[in-house]
Parts: sequence; C-alpha cells; structure tokens
Amino acid sequence: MDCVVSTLTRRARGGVARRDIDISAATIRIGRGAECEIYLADPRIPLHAAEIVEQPGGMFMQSVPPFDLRANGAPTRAAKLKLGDKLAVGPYDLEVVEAPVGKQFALTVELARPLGDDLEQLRSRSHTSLAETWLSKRRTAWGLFLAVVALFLALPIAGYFGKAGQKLSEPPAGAMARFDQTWLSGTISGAHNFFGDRCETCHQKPFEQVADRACVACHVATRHHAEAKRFEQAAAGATPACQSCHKEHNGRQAIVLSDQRFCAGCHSELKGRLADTKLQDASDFLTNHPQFRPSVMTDFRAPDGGRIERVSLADAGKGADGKPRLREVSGLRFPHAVHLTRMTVADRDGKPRQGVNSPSGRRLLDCKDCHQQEPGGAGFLPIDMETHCQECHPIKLTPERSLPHAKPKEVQDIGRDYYYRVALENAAYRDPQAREAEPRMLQPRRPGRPESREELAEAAAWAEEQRKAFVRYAGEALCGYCHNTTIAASGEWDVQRPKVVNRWLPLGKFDHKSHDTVACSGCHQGQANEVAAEGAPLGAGQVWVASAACERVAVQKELLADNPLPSLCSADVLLPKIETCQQCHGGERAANLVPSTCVMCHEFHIDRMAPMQGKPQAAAIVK
Amino acid sequence: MNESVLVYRGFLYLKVATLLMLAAIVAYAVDRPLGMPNGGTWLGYGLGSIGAALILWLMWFGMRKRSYGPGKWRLEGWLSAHVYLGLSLIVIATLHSGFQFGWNVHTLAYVLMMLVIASGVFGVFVYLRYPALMTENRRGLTLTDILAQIAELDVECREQVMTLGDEINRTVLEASQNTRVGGGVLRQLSGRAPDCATARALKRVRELGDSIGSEGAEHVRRLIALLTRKDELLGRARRDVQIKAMLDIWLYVHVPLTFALIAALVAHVISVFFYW
Repeated sequence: MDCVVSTLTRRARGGVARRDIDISAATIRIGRGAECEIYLADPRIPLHAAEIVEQPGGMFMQSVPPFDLRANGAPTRAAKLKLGDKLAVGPYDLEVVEAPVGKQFALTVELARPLGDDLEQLRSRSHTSLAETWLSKRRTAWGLFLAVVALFLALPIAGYFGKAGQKLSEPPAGAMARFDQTWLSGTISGAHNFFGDRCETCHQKPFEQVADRACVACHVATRHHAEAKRFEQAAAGATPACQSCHKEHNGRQAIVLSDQRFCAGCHSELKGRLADTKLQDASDFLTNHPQFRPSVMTDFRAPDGGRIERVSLADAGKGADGKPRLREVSGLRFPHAVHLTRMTVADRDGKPRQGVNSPSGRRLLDCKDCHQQEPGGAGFLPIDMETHCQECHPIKLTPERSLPHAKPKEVQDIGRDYYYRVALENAAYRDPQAREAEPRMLQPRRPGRPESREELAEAAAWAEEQRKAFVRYAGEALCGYCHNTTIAASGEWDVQRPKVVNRWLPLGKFDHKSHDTVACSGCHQGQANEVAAEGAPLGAGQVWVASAACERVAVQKELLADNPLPSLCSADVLLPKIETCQQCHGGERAANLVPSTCVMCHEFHIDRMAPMQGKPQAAAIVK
Repeated sequence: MNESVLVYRGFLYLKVATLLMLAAIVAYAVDRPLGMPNGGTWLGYGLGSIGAALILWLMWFGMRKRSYGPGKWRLEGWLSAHVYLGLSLIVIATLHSGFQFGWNVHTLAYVLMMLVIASGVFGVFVYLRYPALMTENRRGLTLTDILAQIAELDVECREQVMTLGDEINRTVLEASQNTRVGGGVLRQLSGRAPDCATARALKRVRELGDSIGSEGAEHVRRLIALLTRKDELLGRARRDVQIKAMLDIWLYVHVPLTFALIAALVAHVISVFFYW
C-alpha cells in the first residue's frame, strides 16, 4: 500500500511545520522502533505500538497488545481508517486526511501531548520545604493559644461565677464548677481539704486578698494574741492578718508558719514599744531568751487563791521576809529526797534493804509511782492523798480505826464521836480491881445495870479529855505531818489549805510524752549542796545541805547518796533552767540542735484573750 | 547563622544573662521568706515580673526579625540577646516557682516555657551544625541546580532506552515520571525515600541488562551509569531537603508553643490575683 504521512510540528511563534513522507509497504508499522515506518520518538510509545494493514473492506489500524489505541477518543484495539477519523497512539494524534492522487490514504501525525519539562514536573512532584506540608505555625499557634485560654482562664472564671449562691455545705454543682481546680497553686492543708473544691470559701471576692473575715467565719473561738490596742501598738501599726502566719497551699501540714521572725518582730524589742509590758524581750531560744520565770506560789496563805509570783529560776535574791524569793510556799511538806532515797536500812526482818518503809516492807520509790501521765502524756494527773500517799501514810485514830483524809472539822467530829461512844458504852463498869489494872473506859461494860448520873458525868469527862488529846495529836502530828495547821485557844485545830500551782509555766507548752526517752532526773534535778555550818549541832552521819529555796537542812548523808532527786526542801522549785533545754534545743537556725521556734512552746492564740477581730458568724460550711 | 551570634561582641549577652542569673540566685539564697519560698513572696513577685517581662521581650524578637532594615540594634545582637536571655529564664522562672510544681496552670506555664526554651536550644544547635553540612552536601550547587541536573539526566536516560525494549523503556520512564524529592513531614525529616522509582529502575535495569543483546549493551551500560548518577544526585537533594527541614522544624514547635505559653502566662497571672 502507498500512503503519505505528514508530521506536523507546532512552532512556538505560531504556525505549523509539515514534513511529508511517502510510505510504500505491505504493512505499515507504527512505534518507537527504528524499523517502524511511522516512527514515533517518544518513550511513552512501545517499540512496536500498532500497524496499518489492508484487509477486505479497507485499511485498518491494529494495536499490538497490550497497547491500546484511541479511535475518536474511545479505546480500541483496531479501527478502520476513514477520512476525518482521529486516532490517538499514545501522546500522538493521527488524523486520516484526503489522500493525494495515487495514494491509498494519508495521515497527519502530531505530538499532541509532549512529555513536558522534566524539571518542572520533578519540582511539582517534590515537596522540598516544610511550608509545603500540612504543618502550619500560625494554625497551631492560634489553636494552642485559644485552647489554653479556654481551658485555663475562661472556664475557671465561668466556674467561679457559676458557683455564686450555691450552698457551701453541698458539693459544687454545674459542669464548670471544678475547672478552677486547675488554678490550685499547691496542696491544701489537711484541715481545709474537706472544702478544697470550694475555692470561693476563702477567696470570697475576685482580685481581693483573702480577708480575715473568711477565716473567722469558721474559727469563731480562736482568740487574740493580746488586747487589740496593745497588739497594734506592739506591731507598730502593721496589724498582721491571719494570712501573715497561716499560709495555705503549701502542703498537707504547713498551714501554720513557725518562723521565729513572726514573734521576734515584736518581742525582740517589745519594751521599746510597750513601756509598761511585763514581758521580757526574746528573739531566739538559744541566743536571746530570758531564764524561765515560773509562776510560783509564794504565799499560799494570801487571800484569793494565794499569791502567785513569777520568779526567775536564776533569781538568787531574797524577799522582804529575808527568805529566798524563789520558793514555792504551798503549805504542803514533801521532801522528794526522803521518798526517793536509796539508803539501805534494816528491814522488819532485820535484813538490810534499800528504800522507804511501807506496809509491805522496804521499797524503792520512783517518780512515776506518784506522777502518773495523763491520757495523751503531755502532763500528769494530780497527786492524790488516797491514791499516792495513804498506803504508807495511813491516818489512824487507833491502830484499828482509820480516819478519812477529810476536812478538819469532819475528822475532829469523828474523833469526838468515837471517844463519846466508847465512854457511853463503858460508863457502867464497876470493878475496882480491874479499874486499877487498866483504864476503866477500855474495859467491857457489865450488862444489865443502868448507869448512874455520876458514872455518866465521869464518862463524859473522860471522853472530853480523850478528844482534846486527839485534837492536839492530830493537829500537831497527824495532819501536821504534811500540812500547816493552826490550833486555836480552844484546842480546835484547822488545816491551812495548801495551794499548789497547776502549772509553773502556764504559757509554755511542754509535752512530757515526747521527752520520755530522757530520765526524769535528766531535767528535774534537786539542789542539795553540802554547806558548812559552824557551831551547829549535828547528829551522827548528818550533814547540812542547802538549796535555792531553803538555806539549811540537816540530813543523814547516806539519804542523798544515789538519790534521783536530792531535794530535801519542800519549797524547791524543781524545774530545769533554760540551759537544760538548750542542751538539745536551739533557735530556728541553731547548728546541731533541734531547731525550735517560738511556737514550739508558746501559743499565739491565748485563751484568756478576746476572739480575733471580725464578727463571728455562723460557720457556713460546718453543719 | 554562624557562631558569631553566640560570641557577639565578646559574649556580651552571655555576660548580661549570667549576671542576671547570678543576681537571682544570690537574692534567692539571701531571701528568707516566711514559710516556704514561692511565687507569692516579694522576691517571688519580683522574679515573676522579670520573667514575664523577659518572655514578652523575647517574643518581640519574632516581630523585630520581620522588620528589615537597620534598627537601633543589629538583628544579630537581638538574636544573641534572645538566645542568652531566653536561657536565663530557666533560672529565673525556676526560682520564681520556689520549686513548687503541681498539676495546675502555673506549672503548665512553666513546662511550656521550658519546652519553648528546649526547642530554641535545638534551633541554636541546628543553626550551628547544619549549614556546614548543607554546604558540604551541596558542593557548590543549589537545590534547583541539583534538580535541573536530575531532570537532564531523565532526558538522557530516556534517549538511551529509546531503542531498547518496552519493559526497560517503561521502567526508565517511570523513574523519570515518579521520582520525587522530599514529600511529607517525615520524608523530609528522614531524608529517605524507601520506594524511590529511580532506585527501583536502577535495580530493574541491571536485571534486564543481562537479557539484552549485544546491540543494546552499550545503551544499557550508559543507562546504568546515568541512573547511578541520578540516584546519587537524588540522595544529595534529599539530604538537602532533610537539612533544611531540620533547620525549620524546631520553629514549628518554638513558635506555636510560645503562643500557648503566652496564653498560660496570662491565665497564670490572672488566676493568682483572681484567687489572691
């Protein structure tokens, strides 16, 4: 067959270049192969893409599988060549055109879809910077900014206003009520944690510091530190708020700040601010703290509960009566050394044993035999005659007859009743021989005979005589063994009620329990300094000893040997001095000592003061 | 950027930042606040104010670097100050916190700030290290030059296979049409292209080369040489994209987190005074 193939090339400036080739072959091959009659130089075309063959009925173009043709846009494997048909072989468009004379057909060939610019295509396929990816600084920045503002600012504020008017005793209601928890700056103290989800309990007004009224709304009973006016004067006008000492959100325990500066701020120079203050300046337990000044009963006879004075433990001076100022005049005699003695004495069975005499033989006493810890162990239970003394010190009218530790009048009445009863029971006794042998009143009465008037008078006189003897004995020796007694001209006696101060250091806390690893005598030491006393008569083995409270006492020297509390004088104030405490306790920053700030021993809120400022309101959250 | 940013004017801003940090540390050591140290003491408020002011000033660098032209201070100086004063925030904000941390907006602000600083430190690191690697990798070319060479190689490869079999021709065509440089975030950052069409073509061409007769052997030999060259250039282009991505990626953390930090900072400041 013969044909003409015209290759069309579009010029950049317009117009079409045309190159005609005459082809004469039995089969016209189309492809990239050099042997092809219609040579299509494009990598997208197979070596042998298609061929044109003459068949009965016309010229046909057939593809070489698997290559496909397009005939007028439709995929096909074979197509009859008709004038005007458009066939596509890969990127080439072939059009059947009018054949010149002598040719069976004519085709135009045009590269309609060139491969294009490789660089441009490579670039369009490649993303070579992060800006071309999904990453976006702007979007992420805005997203994060808005998310943080919404979650941590808008919602908590909405939550706060949403809770307005809700009852504090109920859990906060509303979806946003707990968003303000993200504002919590630190763990709430254990005591306040039960309303930890109700920030507005304390933070009552936005942008206003927590006011004292929020605290005293619940803490109605909390007392002031001093009279309000004097407090302000001492604090030089800067009245501290609750918040100054009580800092919340600092962990489970730490609601009370214990810095000694709180106290030292005023107390280091209190005298300069309050001229009439009786308080001594202090700023550090180790370096600037006055000697302990216990409240001592200096005269139990004084009216209104006796005279209690604060006397320094270091006070060695003497009062107006010529006696040492530091002495506890309680009206009670109790020499500790005698009771705690380790002296060896022959017991009832003749064998030598240590200790004090007791109904069950010689016995070593210890502090805790009398000083028993109260529940909790901070202090001690009161000493009680019946419990602690009477076993060894029974009060007896006769060897068989005990007396109660009661009011003198009561005891005297019991004595009188006793002797009158004995007298009456025996008034009728008449036996001259027996009368000579023993006191008549102690003999049994002969039954069946009434007493005569004389006999009764005699009995009454005897009873009265016995009663008087008893009164004298009891007043001087029985009660007077421990008590101060007075005997009136009538012979009646009275006991001067002893007065012992409840606590020598009422403003200083001290927990005995937390110190119980130390022996009592480690802190409580009696003074029994042997003193020379010329010319004074002494018994065998005796020495003179003196203490701060008592000038001179004669004592068996052995009594004091190994004695845990060698205090012979009942007036001794057996408190350790501050130096004893300072062996272990220092100030806030003392090196190698227990850091001890003021509040370790002293309370800020003092019970006898008025309530803290602010109107006490019904505690809203405590049902 | 080169090292001159860090050594700018004899480490001027390193000295300034060190002084600032030392002052904060000394103040913290000397200060004896009532109770535990925290942001609510006077020193805490002071350090917090300095920290917040620094953060705002550091953010201003983002504005400053966009405004070209000579300012009162050179941009280089700004950047040097940005780096060193930014680092000083680690000390200032930590002391401001009094080492109190928790699950709250306050610690959120602190953590965001530390993340911003950490990303900034990474940025300084890559800016010090990667430009040299980039120069070394490019060997005097730009990425566009490399890509142009690759495109030329594609043309040459196609010419070489024009007379060869359909399969080898298709393989080479695919290599020129489907090969890409970079791509998604991970591809850019890893610098790898596990399914690279060119590498695949090179392998296939080597396999097919054995079955091609002597008349095509010369073409195949040249084709392998061309594809090998292209593969090598692609490696360099991808490494270049990787280095550039490393130089950029930290900013995608640094900038958005800075905005999150500003939001947290505002919430922090408002919340502590709202619930004073």
